[in-house]
Amino acid sequence: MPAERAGHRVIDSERVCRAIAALGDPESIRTQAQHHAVLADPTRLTLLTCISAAGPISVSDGDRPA
Amino acid sequence: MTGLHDTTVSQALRYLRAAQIVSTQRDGRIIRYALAGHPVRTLLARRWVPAQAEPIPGCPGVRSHIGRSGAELKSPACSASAGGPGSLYGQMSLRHGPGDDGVHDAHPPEAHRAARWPAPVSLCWTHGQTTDIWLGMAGATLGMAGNQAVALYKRRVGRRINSLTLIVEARHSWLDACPPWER
Repeated sequence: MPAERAGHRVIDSERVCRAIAALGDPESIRTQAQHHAVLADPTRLTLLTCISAAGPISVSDGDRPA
Repeated sequence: MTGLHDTTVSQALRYLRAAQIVSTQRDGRIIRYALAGHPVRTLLARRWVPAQAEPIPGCPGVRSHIGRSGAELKSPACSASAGGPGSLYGQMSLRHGPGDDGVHDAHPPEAHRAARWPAPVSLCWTHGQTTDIWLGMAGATLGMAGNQAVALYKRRVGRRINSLTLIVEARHSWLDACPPWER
């Protein structure tokens, strides 16, 4: 258990350690949140889905459905 | 193709390009967009949990794992009840122009197969794109050279101490390292 958590009541120390390890440093979490934020926009997600599935693709090939 | 307004698409693409999430390839007056090596690419690859393929009208050979109603298909009942006709994914299918008889898949065959196999097995064919192939080949060549050096050393020591076992082991190491046509 990390020293800074020595005073805390711990129920399952192994799981706490695994959670701490998964978190990594706060900067890494912020970076991951930014990456997810890119996909949180429907327009961007639509384009990226198309590009991911069919790219390289020209957007001018597409037309708006009636 | 996407049902989005041109200006919306342009703005989004400008953002994605500035963030180096997509790259462009210019072919005369045509600009094609592809995913760049940004970590978002990995998130996109993890997004799909295909459960059932659905044919797309007008696209021979194309099957989508996303329901026309807008929801990822989990069961026929689910696809019948979720979403509405104007939802995002209902307008996402690829549309082919006249004379385009190519067969495209909204999701690669790897994704179809991956859905039927546990992850450790499906990873054999859903490993993504191969990059830095020359670096890989250089590493493999270095490994072969190292194995050859070890084999030579074993053979030399084996002969010096007159150990048939070590000489045979040297032969084994050499066989591991040499290309098939030299065996």
